[in-house]
Amino acid sequence: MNIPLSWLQEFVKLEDVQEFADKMTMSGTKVEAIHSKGKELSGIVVTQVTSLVPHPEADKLAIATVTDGSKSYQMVTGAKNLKEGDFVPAAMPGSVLAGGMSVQSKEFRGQISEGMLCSIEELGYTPTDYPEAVEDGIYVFPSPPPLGSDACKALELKDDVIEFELTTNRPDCFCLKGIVREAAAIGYQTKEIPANVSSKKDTNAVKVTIENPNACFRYVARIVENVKIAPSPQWMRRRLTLSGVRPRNNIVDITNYVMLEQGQPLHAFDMDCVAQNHVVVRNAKDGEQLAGLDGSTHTLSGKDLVIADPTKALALAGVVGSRDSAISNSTTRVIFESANFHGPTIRQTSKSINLRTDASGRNEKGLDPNLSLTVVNRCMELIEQLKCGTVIEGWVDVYPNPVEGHTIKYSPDKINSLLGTDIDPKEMESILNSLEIETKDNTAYIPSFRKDIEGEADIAEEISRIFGYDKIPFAMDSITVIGEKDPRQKVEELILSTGAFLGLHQIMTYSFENPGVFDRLNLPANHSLRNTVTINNPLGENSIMKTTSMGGMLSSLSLNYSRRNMNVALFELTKIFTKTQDKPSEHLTLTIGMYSKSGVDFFYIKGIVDTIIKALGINVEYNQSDEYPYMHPGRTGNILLKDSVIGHIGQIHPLVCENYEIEQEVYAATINIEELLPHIQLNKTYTPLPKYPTVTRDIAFKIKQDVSAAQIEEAIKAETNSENMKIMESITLFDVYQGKQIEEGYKSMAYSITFRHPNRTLEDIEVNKTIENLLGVLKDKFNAELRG
Amino acid sequence: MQNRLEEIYAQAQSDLKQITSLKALEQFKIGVFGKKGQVTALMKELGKLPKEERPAFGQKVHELQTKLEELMEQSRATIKKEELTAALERETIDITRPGQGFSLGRKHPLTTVMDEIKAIFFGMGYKVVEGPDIENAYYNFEALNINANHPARDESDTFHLGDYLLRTQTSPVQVRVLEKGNLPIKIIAPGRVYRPDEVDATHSPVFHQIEGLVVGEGVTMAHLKGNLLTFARELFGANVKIRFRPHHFPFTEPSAEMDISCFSCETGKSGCKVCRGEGYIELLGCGMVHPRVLEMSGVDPNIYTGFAFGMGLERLAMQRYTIGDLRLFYENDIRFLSQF
Ligand SMILES: [Zn+2]
Repeated sequence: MNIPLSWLQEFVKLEDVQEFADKMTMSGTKVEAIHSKGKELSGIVVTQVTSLVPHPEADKLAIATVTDGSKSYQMVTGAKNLKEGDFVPAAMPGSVLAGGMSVQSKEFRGQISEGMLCSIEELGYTPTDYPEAVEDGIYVFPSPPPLGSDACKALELKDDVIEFELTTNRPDCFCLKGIVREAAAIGYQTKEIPANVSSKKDTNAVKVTIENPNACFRYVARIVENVKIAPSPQWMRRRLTLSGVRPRNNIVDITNYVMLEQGQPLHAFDMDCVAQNHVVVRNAKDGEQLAGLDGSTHTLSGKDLVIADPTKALALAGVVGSRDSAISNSTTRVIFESANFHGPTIRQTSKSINLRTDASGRNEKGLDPNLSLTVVNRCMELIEQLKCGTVIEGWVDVYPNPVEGHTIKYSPDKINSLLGTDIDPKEMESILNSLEIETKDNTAYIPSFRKDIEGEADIAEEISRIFGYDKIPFAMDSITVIGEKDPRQKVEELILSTGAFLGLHQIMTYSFENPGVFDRLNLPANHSLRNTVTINNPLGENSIMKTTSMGGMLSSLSLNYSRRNMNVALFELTKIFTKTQDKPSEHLTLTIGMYSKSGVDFFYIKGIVDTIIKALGINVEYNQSDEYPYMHPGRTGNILLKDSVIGHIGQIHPLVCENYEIEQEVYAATINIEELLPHIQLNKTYTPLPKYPTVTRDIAFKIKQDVSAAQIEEAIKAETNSENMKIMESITLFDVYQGKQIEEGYKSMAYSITFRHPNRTLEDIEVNKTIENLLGVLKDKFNAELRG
Repeated sequence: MQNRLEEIYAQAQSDLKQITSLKALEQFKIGVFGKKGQVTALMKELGKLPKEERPAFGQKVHELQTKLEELMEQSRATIKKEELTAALERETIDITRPGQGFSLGRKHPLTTVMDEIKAIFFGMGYKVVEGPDIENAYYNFEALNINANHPARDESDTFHLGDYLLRTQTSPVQVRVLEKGNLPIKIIAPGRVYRPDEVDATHSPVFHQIEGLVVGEGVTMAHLKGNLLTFARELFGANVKIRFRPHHFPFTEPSAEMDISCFSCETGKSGCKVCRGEGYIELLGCGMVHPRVLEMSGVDPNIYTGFAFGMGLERLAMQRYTIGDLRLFYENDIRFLSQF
């Protein structure tokens, strides 16, 4: 909300604007900015045209001689609206116009222009702000100010505008009156905002019926006749413009002016359009149409409230008037409506027709019904002051359930103990009183315009914000809670730090994505991952919650590839979402993805996965799998933990890479961390270091190509686990060879096996015997042959 | 005889001067002490001498032997030293060549800042609690005193998933913790939140918040200020200034926004990009837990009071690293990620 400083200063005694802004901000009425309007304008004076002759060399130009009262100047102008004797603003050499343009003496086809005559646009405004101004013409003062005086002053071009950022709970602050009230509470000397309430007198000139008193709490109407539509005076237009409201005509401007001043919107409409002089406030009929002042025709529903006469709707209550009943130049009789509506109803209508107006923005917050009569009477005062017409005596006021303020009991002790302060109860009272809240015996009498104050905590806030939050001391509580991390947090941290150590960069992607991801991942139509939790109101195409993190990973790799980043290894720890009968479930998932110019392969990423898993203190196994449509069928495996599949790892299918426009082998792995969690052992105990040395033997054997490393390892483990051979400590595959020296269909596998006995030094004979046994088993099982 | 001994010694001295390798030294040793060596020959002659002369001559030969061994030892030490010097010279490398390339990964900058914040609160005795991303209206709104008519409840300000919704704030975690009723409570709740904001340099439909909640007997607004001052000093340094401005949130009363003094310009320079000349930066929202919020979750507001606070992680990280565009966090360009 914007308020011109000059308007505010009429009611608040303030010199230092910045200090005022700071104080208001620190008491809860935040000043967002101070805009200096017309700040740059300088050197523009009021002059009179003494002669006007055509330019001898240019058809479209004229030479004006102007005087500032003591000296004459020659000015070249292209404007067509000037005549001798006009008072005009002239920018002298060295002066600055709107936008910072500086004016110098300049020659136009052989004629010197000792400055420039100004249009209203060149001074930073439009003919809307100054209706007497001619479009594209030099501004001519309608009534002559003193010659040589500052034109900016005469036109009131300069002002500071204070922009307030207000909170939704304080609709009473959205006006001059509210700001003045807050200023008074923090110690500024203020003047009362005009609130003329003349004695009540009913009028029969108009009849008002409220059909839905749950949506319209009060309706006051007053009538003005013999209306003469004209522009409102400059001071009023200036205040409206600077407040961000477009001036229109005297009647509409008065309603808007009072709205800015007192906070309640008013609506003025042509009484000749009201059938039977009867105003009815009712719900719209479903499908009823109204051609609004905003230029569009709105189709209404039974939820919307309209102001109508017995035959037709005249306005959408609290939002916008109709074109037919609008004030026009031929209007002579006007009804001023000052009504109070149910905020949510107004908001609903405003949203459903997608139209926000100054009126709806205020009405939707729920205003004080006790304001309605005051504001309409203030309008009448201005009507008379501006001589816009004849105010008809008396008014119609339909107010079925008058609202009164409420009371709240409060305890100064409790408030002090909530705030951690020691504020004197007397000071509390005087703070509340300064906010127009009366007090007596620890009871606060809350006025009807402060509906936001509902309980003792609100009283505490009022007291503390005026007392000053900065005066509340800093203290530390004595609450001790053991700040332990839960296992999930520890695991997350461990995975992230291990991944980073291993050269992976952590990524973050959105939790939702485009359902097109499933086609890019080459998933068949009935694939279970396509069963998604769907967003009813998505932003663009991202309408599904992720059921797999693979798409996000591939998109991130793809972005990097398109930007020619050569070596990219990423990981993400994020939730994926699964549809269930009940509440959708969320699984924490680890995803790793990489490509590299220098070549990564399956075993590189497998090593990374192994290391991360190892950091968590568990072991996993792998088996070959071709069940993932987006993975290479021959280079993919399941990751198994105690026989259950917790993830998969492998090369991304070349066709999927094509879909993501990555022309390189991509490797990826994904693991459901939820399934890992119960098995993770983070509590470590020390195992004594072995006392006896190890014996290591390397063996290589020839074996059929289709026997997997896992099968061999399993067989060796089974053998060495037997009671008499428990001496094997570890087994490591260090070479796999296929080629010239091995016959077709076979491969050579070389293992390094380490033996150790816990209680004594091993002898060669027993190790040799174990190896022999092993080879025997491998020969029996796989027909393996020892190689020399 | 005496002369011969001296000759051998003199000869050895001059020979050893010529010797520069251990191998040559070994040859020399054989020449002196070997089967056909000079000293061996002397020993053989010893037998031919008259009996009475033998001890004296033997003594002399023994002395020569010792002296020669000393000479050789000196020579050996010199040669070894020279050889080492030569070897060290040979082994000299160009240490300006690049080091072995190891790839260093990184945590996401948002994780790094989040970790830092978590660590600070952890040190202050807070527990870290997390909640689901998918919530229902009760936890996300109702229980936080945001009634059906509140503007924050606008359909278009929340992503809806049938009967559920994507939480618009981390505050539902407060409710879940209060409901459990294990008082006192001292937690932070970090997590993802969702709002249907079009993506631009400062908006993202997905972002992160950190929420804090402290509830117990005798918890005051002064405690709120003390806790957050400690936090701000830990995060931004001991010289940071903070200020609390009254504000409005449905779930706290009194409510405040906390600003910190600008860490970029300190005094509010008009050209400062971080604070836009204000000298202060808005950091977080906070307040005393609304009694109705406590009540709805079964905590008696007549016995317990508490404070809560919440802040956006992205904005904090953007300020910290002077990142101008929020989209970079979710784009995952490795050239961005590797900077943190
Ligand atoms: Zn700054």
